[in-house]
Order: sequence, then structure tokens, then C-alpha cells
Amino acid sequence: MTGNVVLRAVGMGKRFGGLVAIKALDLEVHERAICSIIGPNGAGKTTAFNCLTQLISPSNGQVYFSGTRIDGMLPDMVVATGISRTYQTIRLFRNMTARENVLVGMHLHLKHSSWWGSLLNLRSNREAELQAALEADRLLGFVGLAGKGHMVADHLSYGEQRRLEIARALATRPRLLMLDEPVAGMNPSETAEMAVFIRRLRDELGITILLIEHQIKMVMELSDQVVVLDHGVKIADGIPAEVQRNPDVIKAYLGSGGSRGAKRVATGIQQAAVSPARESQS
Amino acid sequence: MSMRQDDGKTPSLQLRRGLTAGAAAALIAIYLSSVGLIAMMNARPVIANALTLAQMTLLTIVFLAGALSQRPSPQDRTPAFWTAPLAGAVAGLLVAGFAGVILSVNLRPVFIALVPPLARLLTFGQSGVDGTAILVAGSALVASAGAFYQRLPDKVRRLLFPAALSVLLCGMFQEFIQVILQSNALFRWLAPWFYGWDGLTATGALIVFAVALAAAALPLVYRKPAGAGDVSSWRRFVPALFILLLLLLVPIAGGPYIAQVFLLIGLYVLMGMGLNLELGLAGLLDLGFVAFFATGAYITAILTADSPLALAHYTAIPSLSFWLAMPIAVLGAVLMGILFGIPVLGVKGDYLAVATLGLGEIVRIVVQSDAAAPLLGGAQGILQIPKPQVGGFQFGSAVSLFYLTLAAALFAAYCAWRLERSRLGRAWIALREDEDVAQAMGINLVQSKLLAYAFGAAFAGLAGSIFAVMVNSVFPSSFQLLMSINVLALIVVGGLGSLSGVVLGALVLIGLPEALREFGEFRYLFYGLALILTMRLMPEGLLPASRRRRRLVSPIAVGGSTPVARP
Ligand SMILES: Nc1ncnc2c1ncn2[C@@H]1O[C@H](COP(=O)(O)OP(=O)(O)OP(=O)(O)O)[C@@H](O)[C@H]1O
Ligand SMILES: [Mg+2]
Repeated sequence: MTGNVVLRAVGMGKRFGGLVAIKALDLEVHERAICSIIGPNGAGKTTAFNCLTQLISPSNGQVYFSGTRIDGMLPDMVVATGISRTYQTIRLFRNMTARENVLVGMHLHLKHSSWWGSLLNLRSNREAELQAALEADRLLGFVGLAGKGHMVADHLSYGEQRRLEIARALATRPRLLMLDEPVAGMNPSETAEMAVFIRRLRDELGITILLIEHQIKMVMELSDQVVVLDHGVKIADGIPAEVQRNPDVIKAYLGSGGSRGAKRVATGIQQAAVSPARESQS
Repeated sequence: MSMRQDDGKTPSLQLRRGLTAGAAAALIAIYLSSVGLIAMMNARPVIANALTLAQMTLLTIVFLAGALSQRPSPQDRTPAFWTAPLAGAVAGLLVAGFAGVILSVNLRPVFIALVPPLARLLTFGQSGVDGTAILVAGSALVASAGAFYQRLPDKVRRLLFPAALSVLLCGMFQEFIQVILQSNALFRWLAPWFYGWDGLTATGALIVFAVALAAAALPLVYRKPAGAGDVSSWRRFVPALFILLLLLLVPIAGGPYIAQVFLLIGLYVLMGMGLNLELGLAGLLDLGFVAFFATGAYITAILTADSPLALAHYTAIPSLSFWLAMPIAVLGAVLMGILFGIPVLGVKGDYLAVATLGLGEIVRIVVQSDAAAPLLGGAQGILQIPKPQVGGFQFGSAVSLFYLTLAAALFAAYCAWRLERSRLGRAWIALREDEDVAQAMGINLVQSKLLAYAFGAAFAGLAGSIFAVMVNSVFPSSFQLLMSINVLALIVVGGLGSLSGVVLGALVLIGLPEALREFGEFRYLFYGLALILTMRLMPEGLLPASRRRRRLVSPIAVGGSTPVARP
């Protein structure tokens, strides 16, 4: 695989009252890897994301990011260490323009644009803002939203909003990008494009990717590592080829009491297991 | 009960529409009469010797009934025209009946306003069977006019409405406008064209109507050659400059009373801009805002007053001039803002409203308490605050203080405008939009929120400082919760987050009740009406923030690392 372990969770758990959403999760993600978390609905994937980014605090365990312990930190400090994310339900700043959304993402790196500098209209401030706007437009171009910077986020199409969310996350200059179901609600061709785009993020920008995804085919093609959660418990962790042959995984999917999503996933896994992963066409 | 699938053309449905619209109009008229408002409005002429505000109101109600009876049904069908005269006739008949009841039964023990003159007013002086017939026919005619208006194309309505409104305003506020006109030789020469000794003349009304119509039509004619909304930058500031010029001239022209009203409006504008940063940008609802205003006023008082409570009296601190005290007052208010913000940092939404309300009341009660009385004077307050002075000039008059406030407001507006476009401003807006995500983007919640409170407090403290010298004294009773609510209401009516909205909101909500003083307590009814109407008809406010049209920098040609699709 690749370099050092960049993200490590040790025994990370989360309880909501009586409900155990995640039970003692151990997770290691390597530098420049694409790691996917899969599992049936309600398995605790999004909760794991929230705990890793400290959007909610884990009930137990520790989280380390490139050696630094980050559990217990505030989310704004976590993002400063180099972790950024998107959300399962799009959470843009809806009344701001696309460019402003990205500029908010650059908040941390715009320290030269202070409020008193803005009040005095200092030259250094104006320069910093101009550079930031240029950078924001470059990022918008990178995700395929060139020329849409002045549009209010709410007026963008669904797919554009998803890509804007990624641009905003990239604006924080992350070393680890966490994507929660980035292709949910997209059609097959958009999905294929997104898969190519995610790979480019890793190959061109060197960003480690942690991905939650339901589309097994995409996961198996894209990932270096696949983690399977079921009822908050990790039941498999390894390279795609291993995981899709894992009898526990297939059993967990088929045995989970007729949930339609689970059956769909299970079929996906079996199909993927039968036919070797094809090359993704660009 | 049995709702059939109506298409809006069924005769029974149309009948019902006409009847309900008429009945509703009559009910409103009867209600306004019973509480005494109609009688009171009759004292105010709109057009001298022709039309009083009361008559105007009655006509408007019937007109609106006619217009509403023509509103398309849910299936988007416009009802037949005859529903409008029906509504008018029903309204006329019911009101005439009501007038008959007033004349034949003594209702005064129930509603003190229901006296025979009111009945004559309601029936426009008509009586008997013939009179009732005339009234019903007239009412049907007015309602038909309403229906006709409703059917006019949007474009035409957008011309007629402001023109009619202008006549109404020029008539209603004639005393107010007359004061301005009489104070200046040039205006005094103009005045006879419009106003007789007892109000707007009929010719005056016609001129106003024509001028307003032309003014409303101007943008239509003007915009065509300009192309697709690409207005050059200086032209965008023309309305603002125009308003500024008006603000500069009106108080000189209008004399001390008008200046006093504008001074009050100016102070509310200052506070409104402060709360706009807190609520409009950062989304932090604050019902204790008046505490910052009070802090500014009290600090100015204890630093400058010629009173035993002044710091100079019992400490080594010398008595300061207003110019030195004002910045200290602002700083004190900022400190108060931060102290105020800390306990409510983790509180969101509705709870924040209640928490800040509590904090604001605590400040007022502490100031009022006996414990603080040796320092702040308790309920007696602090008296004898001197007016600001520059060289030999004293800001003694309301006019000069108004200009001081205007300067302060311009400075504050500049700051607010810069802040909104700064990194901090973006952080505030992000905070308002989604606090959790904003934090996950690296925004320090504590810092940004406290800065929002601090800036809001600074503006309010500045206003408070000027307020203290305006009234020469400070009392705890001047800093009621109602003031916070007023500020909140005016920025909501003006349009949250919009600077020009603050000005308009203050003009409407603070200026209107001032101009309607003779209506006594009823003027708050207009205040409420203005609030309800704006929220119903323009929920975004009168001048909504134009976030949509705004660009941070002009579009930049960019070469991303992907081949970019041309837009
Ligand atoms: N804030 C919360 N309070 C209480 N229970 C929660 C909360 N968030 C999640 N849960 C519960 O935790 C469990 C895991 O939810 P989670 O959203 O992590 O699942 P998921 O794997 O992301 O599912 P999906 O594929 O549907 O997104 C669910 O049973 C959910 O109801
Ligand atoms: Mg989820």
C-alpha cells in the first residue's frame, strides 16, 4: 500500500443514551490511501465521521491524526490539523455565493485579512483578499464550477452543490479529506465522473481520502482499503479483494433482516465478488 | 362542509366570494368605527374640504374588498367581474344598516365612539331610503374600481400605486410638510401650489399624483437603453446620495421639531446598524441590546456631568469633555458587550432571545437598584450633562445634534459596510447559516460571537453617548425593553442584514408614530399594522439585503487545472 498511518482511532466508541452507535472502533488509515467505510443503513458510518472530526465527542477511545491526539479538540482546531469533510446531507452556507462558501473554507489561511485591517482598508488586507478570491476561483475551476462563483449556493444544481461542498472542504488545505456519500442521488455518469475526480484528488493533490459509500462497485474499484461496519461493530477491514470474499461480510449483509438497502448492497458484493473489478473508464 | 371541486367559476362559489369580501369589509369598517379610530381619523384631512382620512380609509376598505373578490381561485381562475360590485353593495348595505342602528339605538354605554355624527360620517351624509340606495351604488362602484385595478397589468399597477400613496402621504402629513415648507423662502413660494390653509388642495393633489406617476415611470423609460442590468457603479449610489442630501437639508428646513424627530431616528439607525451586525449577519438574536445603549449613556454621564455623581466629584479623574468621554463610553459598551456575550455563548435560537432579554433586564434593574444608587443615582438618574462643544460652538440645538448623529451614523455605516465584506463578516454569515459547519471550517465560535456582540455594543454605546447629551440626563426608565424591541422590529421591517433597510425601517417605525402623535395611543396601532403588513407582504423586509446581486470581486478569468467549461 502506501506510507505511514496518518489517521488512527483506538477503541473509539459512541453511545446515544442506551443506543450504542459505534462500539470500540479501531481504525488505521495510511497516507495517500483511499479508504472506504461501508455498511448497511444505521451502521454508524456517519457517526464515526462525526466522532473523528469531533463534531460530536466520542464516548470513549482516542483519535490521533499524524501523531497528534485530536479527540477532545474543538472542530475548528481539528480542521487546522488538516482534516476536512463533506456531509451526507449537503450543508452549504446556502445564502452565500459559491465563491464566499469557498472563502469561508479558506478562513484559517486568511489570517492576513484581519477585521481591523478591513476597517482601515489596508493594502495588505486587500491583497490577501484578492489572492484568496483568485484561489477560490481556481478551486471552483478545479471542481468544475468555473464561472459559477457569483451564484448563490442555493441556486446551484444538486450535483454542483455536492462539488461546491468538496471545493469548500479543499479550501481548508486538508491532508485528509472525508467524503460522506459524495455520489448519493447522482446518476451513473455523474457517479463515474466523481470516482475519477476522487482519484485525482489523491493522485494530483496527494490527499488521503476517507469515503463513506453505498455503491459497492465504485468502492471496490476505487479503494485501497475497505472497512465494513455493522451495528456499530467493525466486521472486516482490508483490501477490497479480501473484504468482498469475507464470509462475515456477506452473512452480515444477507442476515440483517430484509432491509432493502442491505439486500442491494449484498447483491452488489456478490456480483463484485464474482466478476473481478473492472478498470474504471474515464 | 361539502367541498365540491370548484373551478372558481361556479356561480355559488362566486356568490360566496362576493358576499364574504363585502361582509369582511363591512366588519372592518364597523370595528374601526366602534373603537373610535374612524372618528379620530376624520380630524385629519387628506384633501382639504374634499376627503378626510376617515373617508379615505372607508373607501380604501371597499376598494380592497372589490380587488380581493377578484383574486384568482386556487385553480388560477379569475372570478366573474360581478363579484366585485356585489361585494361593494354588501359592504355598503351593512355599513348603512350599522349607521341606522347607531341612530336608532343608544350604543354609547357600550362603545363611547358610537354617536350620531359617526353614523353620518359612515354614510357620507346620506340618509333615508334614497340615501342608502346611493350609498350602496357608490360602494359597488368603488369596489368595481378595485376589481378593475386588480385586473390591470402589473406594470400599470406599479405606476398607480406609488402615485396614489404619494397623494395620501402628502395629505396626511400636511402639517409636517407645511412646517418644512414654511421655514424657507424658496419652499414658502412653492407651498401655495399644493396647500391651502386647511390642507392639500385638489390641484395640489393632482400635481402630486402626476409628479409621482412620472417619477415611478422614469425607471421604466430610463432602463431600456442601459441593457441587462449592468448599472455602472456611480449610478448605483445615486439613490443613496439623494437620500443623504435629503437628510442634510430636511432638518435645517424643517426646524427644531423635525430635527428632533430625525435625531431620534438617527439614534435608532445607529443602534439598528449595531444589532444588524449581531442579528442580520451573525444571527445572534439579542433582546438585551438596550443595555449597551444604557452603558454608553451612563458612562458619558458620569464622565462629563456637572453633578455630585460625576466621577470628577469624588475621584481624581477630571471632568471630561464629550469628545473624550464618547470613545470611553464606546469602549465601555464594548466591554459590556463582551461580558454580556460570554454567558450566552452556548445558547442558541429561542433560548438566546430569552437569555439576552434576562441579561438586559438585569442591567436595568442593577442600575435602578439602591445598591448602585450612590454611583449611578438610582431612579433619580444623573442630571446636568453638558452639551458637546467645539471651540465656541455648542451642539445645543436639535439640529446640530442631528448632524452629529448623522456623522456618527455615516461612520458606523462605513464600518458596517467594510465589516460585512471582510473575513470576519463572512465568518459571521457562515455562523448564522450553519454554526456547526462554520466551526468545522475553522471558525472560532467564541471569538467571532464575542466580536459580534462587541461591535453591536459599540454602535449602541455611541448612540447612547449622544442620547445622554441630547436629553442632558440619564434615567434607568429611559432604557426599557421596548427600546430593544423597537430596534429589533426596525431592522426586521427594513430587511435583515441590509444597511439601507435599517434607515428605511427607522423612518417607518420611529418616524411614523412621531408624525401621528395626535392619534395618541392609536399610533402604536399603525406601528403594529406596519409590522404585520410588511411581514405578510414583504417577509424579506422593505429593502432586502441584496446578497444575490453582490460579487466580492469582479469575475476573474481563471484557468483551473481542469479544462473549464465556458459558462
Ligand atoms: N444525534 C443522534 N442522536 C441519537 N441517535 C443517533 C444520532 N445520530 C445517529 N444516531 C443513531 O446512530 C445510529 C447510526 O447512525 P449513522 O447516521 O451513523 O448511520 P449511517 O451508517 O451513517 O447510516 P446511513 O447509511 O443511513 O447514513 C443510527 O441508529 C442513528 O439513529
Ligand atoms: Mg450516514
